[in-house]
Amino acid sequence: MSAIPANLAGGHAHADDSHGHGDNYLNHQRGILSWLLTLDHKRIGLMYMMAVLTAFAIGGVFAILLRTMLWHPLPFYGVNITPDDQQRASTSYDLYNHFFTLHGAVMVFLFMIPAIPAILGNFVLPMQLGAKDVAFPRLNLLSFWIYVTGLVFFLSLLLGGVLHVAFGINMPGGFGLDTGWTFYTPYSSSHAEGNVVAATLGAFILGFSSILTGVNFLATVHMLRPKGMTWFRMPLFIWAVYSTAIIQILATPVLAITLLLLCAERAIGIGIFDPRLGGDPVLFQHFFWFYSHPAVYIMILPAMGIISEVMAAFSRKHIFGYAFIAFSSLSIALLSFLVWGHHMFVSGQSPLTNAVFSLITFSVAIPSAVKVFNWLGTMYKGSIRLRTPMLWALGFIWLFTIGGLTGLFLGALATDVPLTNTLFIVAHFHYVMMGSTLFAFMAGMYYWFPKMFGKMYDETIGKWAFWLAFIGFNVTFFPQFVMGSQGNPRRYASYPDGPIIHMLGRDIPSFVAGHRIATVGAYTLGLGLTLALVNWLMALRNGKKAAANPWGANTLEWHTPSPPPHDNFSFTPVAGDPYDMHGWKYDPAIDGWIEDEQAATRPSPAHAH
Amino acid sequence: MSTVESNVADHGNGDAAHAPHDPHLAHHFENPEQQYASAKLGMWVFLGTEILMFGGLFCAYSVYRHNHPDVFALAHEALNRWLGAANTIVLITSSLTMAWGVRASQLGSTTALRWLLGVTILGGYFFMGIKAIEYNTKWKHHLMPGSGNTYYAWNGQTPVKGFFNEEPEGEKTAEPTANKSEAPAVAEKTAPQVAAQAPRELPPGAAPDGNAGQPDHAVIFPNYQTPKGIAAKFGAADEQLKLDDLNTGDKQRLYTFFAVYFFMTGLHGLHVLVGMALIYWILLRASGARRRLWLVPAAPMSVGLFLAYLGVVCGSPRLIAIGVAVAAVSSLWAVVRYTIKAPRLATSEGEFGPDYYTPVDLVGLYWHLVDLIWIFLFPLLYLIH
Repeated sequence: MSAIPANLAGGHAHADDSHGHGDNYLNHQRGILSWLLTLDHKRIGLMYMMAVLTAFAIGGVFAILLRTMLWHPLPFYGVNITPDDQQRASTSYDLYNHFFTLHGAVMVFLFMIPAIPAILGNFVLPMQLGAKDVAFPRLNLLSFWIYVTGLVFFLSLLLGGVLHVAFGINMPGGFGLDTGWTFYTPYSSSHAEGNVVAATLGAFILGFSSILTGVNFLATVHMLRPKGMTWFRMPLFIWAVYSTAIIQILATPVLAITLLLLCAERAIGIGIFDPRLGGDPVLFQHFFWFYSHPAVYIMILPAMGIISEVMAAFSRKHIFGYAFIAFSSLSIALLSFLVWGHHMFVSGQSPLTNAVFSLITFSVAIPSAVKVFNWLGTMYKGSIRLRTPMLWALGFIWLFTIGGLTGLFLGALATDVPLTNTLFIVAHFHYVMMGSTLFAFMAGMYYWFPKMFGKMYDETIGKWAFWLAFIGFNVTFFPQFVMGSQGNPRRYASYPDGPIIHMLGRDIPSFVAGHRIATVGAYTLGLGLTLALVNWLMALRNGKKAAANPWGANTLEWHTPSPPPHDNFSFTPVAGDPYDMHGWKYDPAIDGWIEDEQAATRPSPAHAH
Repeated sequence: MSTVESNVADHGNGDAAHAPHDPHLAHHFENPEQQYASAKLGMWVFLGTEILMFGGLFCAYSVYRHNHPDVFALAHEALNRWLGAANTIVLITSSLTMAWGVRASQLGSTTALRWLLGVTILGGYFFMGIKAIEYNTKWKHHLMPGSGNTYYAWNGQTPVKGFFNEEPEGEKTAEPTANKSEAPAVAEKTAPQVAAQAPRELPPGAAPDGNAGQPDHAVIFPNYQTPKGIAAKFGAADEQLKLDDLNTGDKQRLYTFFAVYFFMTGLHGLHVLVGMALIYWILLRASGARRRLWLVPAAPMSVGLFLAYLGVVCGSPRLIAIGVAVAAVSSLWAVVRYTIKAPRLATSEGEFGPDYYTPVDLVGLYWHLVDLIWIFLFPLLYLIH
């Protein structure tokens, strides 16, 4: 703690003015090819941002579509409806299947898994580490283009679906995707009308991209730490991305082979997973969840890393329990490999297996809670500034806590069995995966936006975006906990009236009310996220110039100008304690923080303005 | 990238003074040692992911073999273990020459390196050639993966006449004739024998997927099954397992062994091809050939591959064979030319020496992994009984 922070170490106290307008990575080279073929991790990060946000928009459109469909329940099969209605309903059921599948698959494989590691990890990790680039820049570029290839596969699914619905043209191999993002056999291998082969190949390709990114980050963290950057001076975001890389490397290959086998099963019927051919569908579930449960932590771990950074920076306080947070990341990574069976409590596992998986599942709560308590401890007696990144981070804690605690209901066998495949599950994993990952992603985007582009966004609009998204999210998913516990199944295009509740002197059918509230919430959430996008675009166009260190944080990326030069640092970075923020003082002239020469002699910590 | 180095004032804490102009040193590394260690770490981790990927496949193999031991015991008889053994020897030898090549590059013996790399690639050709012969034989016996297989369950008429239940033992290599028409007769003959043990038999005229979703009797009630197959023949190893020794469910699953076989060896063969391409790339760099000559062999290779692709599209095995042959011969020609260092190609002594041998080392590691996987595949698939 008493170590001289890095900002006092080198002769670079004038980093702001010497490079502020000069050569940076954005204008270092010009021309479209200098972007498409760049080896600069920062540019690759921005290209990932374009591609991943495109995918996010597609997934979001499907979410809006399926919530809109649920405004009116479709008639049930055989419940006093005419054959004509039944035919019409059947078509809508199929459409609904495509909507929720594409929503899930696009969001999971194209947005949530790559979002934080590929965008923010690529941009921030080498700089936080004090390195000039990732260990294998060419591999990094390759991994981006592999991602784009996978994106194209998924776009071809969409194209097939559009051609089918709009023009009645059927592409070979099926159109769209209607298996659910989990591709469960035997539906996916023998019955689905979607193009399962294209989807699994696309996911396989995306997995390859993920593996290469993981290998790259792992080697970078191991090999490219400069002088002074010991393992325990690494910022917690790096610890988180490092743990993520371990999961990516260990779990994704298993998904790869699973998807290849499924592809072969679908294409020629090899009889591994399809029970009709003597295969074992539960084996598919084991394989799938052996990857896809760790994949949940691929989504959440880097998100937690962002929260650790933001919490410390906006509480103006050293992170509380650094080592605990670091090791909890690693232990989550380890535990993530031991809990996949909790997705299969009702798939025919033996009771003993179920009990063991249930027990290990509960133990994941320990490192997760360690993190939450440490964040709270960081805020305690801190000088908290509720800037936009901090708001998103606090939203993360709210959502993650609800999502995590409802996870205990699902980890416990007695409550999981009735709750399986209800909206309760949907609400739970949206809180944990989507709510937490998305909110942390937004926190990170707002936090590093000034560093990326050298521009400040409009704080008011940013806060509006947060509140709309936060309220919208809770309004969307909290009713689903209630409806799920009342027995509304997931993935159904229809629903009955549900238990009648007496409220305001009226009898209200709870499922109808719940679904309509959720739909309104989804629109609000979409509005909030769109507003955030508008906020960024406006900032790019006419945002104020950002200071090198607008937040007063002390990780190494804030020591270099915004936007950073091509080689990240014009000096040799020397790492100190990443969370010792005493060496910075606020300068209203630039609305940022500059290094304070008197910091060493001043007794009390610097405070926020 | 190297142009930006001049912008950087203090480059690497004084270590920069050590070999600052090394042409192989990327700008973000401080010294060649760090670069070499990073590359090696990255490669090992990547090999780890490869092992995990094949690990999933081995896991599927174990599950299936555990569920249907008789299927594996009988079906593997269709594989030629002598060809498999030959391929094992070839791959191990090529691993030796590869390791030797790495050593040669470390010692700076460029001629030895070229020849050793050339021999290693030849090993790859040999392996793939034998594999092609094996695949071709399976195809002729209608033992391909998927629904073309004689023993495909969806035929609903198992066991049909094929490799394992042809009357004359000596005519196994003959083309099976019109399987479908003879199938009912064979089924009639075998059905009574297995009726007692068979958990269920497809009713005549049932829909092809009439048994979808039915539990597998052999898995759920293992104790109710009269010992048959290898369980009954345990201890009598000389006795050959016959098709009739299998229960009905297993007879319908014989083709799955071939699906597993083709999937595992096919994925492995793909890795062999990638390895050969990588070694070829190393050979080009080691030969010191002019870079613009590198693509010359690519032209006939592309033509060959395109012909093969056309063959796949048109369903013409002859065209596939011609295309593959063109690609193989033209690439082989290139390998030989670069190995003996044809005078027109040579410009320098090649890139690798004691100061820089990272690519040779890493490609070598990859090739050893390919070899290692085969060493597991061979006994698991060929030497079951």
